[in-house]
Amino acid sequence: MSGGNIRDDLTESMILKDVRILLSEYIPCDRNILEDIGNKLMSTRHVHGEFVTMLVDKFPESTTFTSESEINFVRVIDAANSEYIASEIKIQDPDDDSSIEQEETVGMYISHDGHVVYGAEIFETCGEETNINGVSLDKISRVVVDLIYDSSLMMETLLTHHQRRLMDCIYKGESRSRYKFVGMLASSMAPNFDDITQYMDGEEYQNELEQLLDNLIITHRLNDGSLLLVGDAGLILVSENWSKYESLVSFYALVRSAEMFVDGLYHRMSLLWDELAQVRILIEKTASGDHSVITRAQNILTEASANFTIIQSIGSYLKRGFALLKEKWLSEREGVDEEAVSVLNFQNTFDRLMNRISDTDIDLQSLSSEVEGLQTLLSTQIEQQMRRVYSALRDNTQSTSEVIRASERTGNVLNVIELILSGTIAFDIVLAITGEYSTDFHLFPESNPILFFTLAVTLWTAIVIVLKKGMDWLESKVEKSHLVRVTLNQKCDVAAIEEYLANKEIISIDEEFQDDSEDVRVHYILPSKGEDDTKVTLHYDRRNGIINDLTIEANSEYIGIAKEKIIKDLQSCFSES
Amino acid sequence: MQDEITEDMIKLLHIIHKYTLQEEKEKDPKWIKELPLATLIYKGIITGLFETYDYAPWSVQMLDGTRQWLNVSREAKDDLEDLLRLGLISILRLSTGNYGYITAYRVTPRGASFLSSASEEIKKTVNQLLYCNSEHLRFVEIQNRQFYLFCTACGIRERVSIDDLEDIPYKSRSYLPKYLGIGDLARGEKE
Repeated sequence: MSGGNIRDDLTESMILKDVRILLSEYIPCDRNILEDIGNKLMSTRHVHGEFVTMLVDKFPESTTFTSESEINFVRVIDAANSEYIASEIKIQDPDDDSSIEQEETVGMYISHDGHVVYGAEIFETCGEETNINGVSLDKISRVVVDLIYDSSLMMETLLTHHQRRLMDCIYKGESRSRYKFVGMLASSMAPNFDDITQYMDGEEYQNELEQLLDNLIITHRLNDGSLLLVGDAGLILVSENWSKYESLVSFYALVRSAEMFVDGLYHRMSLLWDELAQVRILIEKTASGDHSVITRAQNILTEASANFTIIQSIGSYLKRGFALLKEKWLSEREGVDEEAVSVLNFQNTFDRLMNRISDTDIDLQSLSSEVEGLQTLLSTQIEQQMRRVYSALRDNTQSTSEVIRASERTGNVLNVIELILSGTIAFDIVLAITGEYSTDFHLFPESNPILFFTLAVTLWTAIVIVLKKGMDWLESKVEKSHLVRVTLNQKCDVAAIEEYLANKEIISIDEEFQDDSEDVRVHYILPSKGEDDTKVTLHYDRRNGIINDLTIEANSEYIGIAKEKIIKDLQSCFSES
Repeated sequence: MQDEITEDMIKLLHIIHKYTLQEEKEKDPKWIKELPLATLIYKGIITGLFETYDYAPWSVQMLDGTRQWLNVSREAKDDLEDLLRLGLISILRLSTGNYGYITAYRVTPRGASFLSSASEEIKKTVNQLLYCNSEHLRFVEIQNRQFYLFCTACGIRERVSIDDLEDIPYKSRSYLPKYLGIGDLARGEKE
């Protein structure tokens, strides 16, 4: 068997025998979530042994499903009414070097209070049995890292979507790389110094230990001869009777891992303050007249509000979880070695964590007020802007009404002029008929002016009626244009859209650049056979590749055909996703 | 003091000195940050420059506040503390815009004076790591969570595999603490 792919010569000055690794961590959880995880693992069945994947079936109606080549294996050992699930998992990390033989079988326990325990007994490394030949700290540190990383990968396949969101929020999308406090139990260690200060020699031994534990802070020999070595990132307990320390190591590792979790929460809250500060600056800009940033402020605030909701939810889970865990610890504490509890300063560490969790309320309340305040401030700004728009619209409407009234008046005047003009024509005709010419013919005797006047008025009336009827008839013959707006909101290939538009007779293009979009409105003409041209406006988002809508203006008979034709042409530009 | 300083410590001191060396007109002190320094140290270990150092994977906080597993040398960290204790380097702690904290190092006048009398042969060996063929100092670049040595003069970029974690063959069986009341996992039975 190979010695792995280590590129450097290892010092290997400290050897542990019969090694068990206990990783504990806190993951937001409750009974409903645990029930959901139990359903995924079919935990109520009597026979177990499932492969699990984090892939989601996007086509549930299809016959087959293609999974990853390396899938994790889970065998549920015990599960109890949404309280806990204990299982055995075989981890397959697809990124691991396949030429290096690893059989990673790990015990996993997840409780509704959020306590997760991963346990592994390392019985062979580099082809040698660890309870006979032992394993060096150099090598075990690599095994530990592998377990920390792979257990996170494994857990990701089991977590609900909601839990993954919470974890991604705390670890900024890199929850796979999260650290877990390492608890290590071993039956013996070489060298075994009587003078334990030799482990803190500042050189070889300390460096070896710190490679796994980070800064070494406690080296202690317990009354029963057990050795306790504690660092900032892990602890090693060396004892023939290691099992009596299991619960303490597990709880201590949980508390220390949860401290890192709370660090992450606090860090996330600090970043949220930054996001909110940015929103405040943008709102102030809006207030001082720069309205172009209002969309950006809205977007950031929407995202920040969503993050705040997640953070608030994490805070609630933490409080509930650790209230329950404290009770659990108090019941487990009986029988735990008091000296070890005291050396680890466990009670203080636990209380400190509880206080920190409680203190997150201060930040959460301030954040809540800030989010609410900014939402109100932004709404006020938007309302003010809307009022400005309404005011401008009202002014425009007023002036438009005045223009319409003025043109109506002008129209009436024109109508009168038209009638007078038609009367003049009628009189001219009458005069032409009745006597401007000096002929001998007289339709009426010259001595009858009333009859003459009556005839002129009748003719005038008749001409007016004929003209009015003629104009109405002509107006009814004019084809009316219709306008159709089609909302598409369809993902598209921008290059294909622009290629489609390249062949069109473009009238104008309006472009509007925003923070998260590039709105383009292209107005073009679509020629039609024997009909009036069709005017089209295509609105698409160049940055996000979305066709938003389509406006078609054509005569009422042709508009249906035009709409179908344009949509059919555009379908070739739609992208499949 | 001479007895306490190893050859690897001199090499480490020389690396810090090279990156924090200032021209006369520059008044404000220059520091080398720990992540680039760790990258140079790792490169030095795998190329055989540092004889007494090895490395192990460690979860390191990155510039964006996320964590990443990197091969970090505990021996080098210990030597840095010794150099600090001897007054040959200074340490600066600074915060980042992402609410993280980083450590930076520079050589003290005492350290510079010590280096001036150090073996030229050692310095020459170290320079082979730090300089590219065009005799320009290479800087550490971190892009998309990957690490490079980059020469601004000739534009050559060399990837450093500090994030390539090594695997060893091992076998483990499942185990859970007895207090959880789960029983023997190997048999799949509850006690």
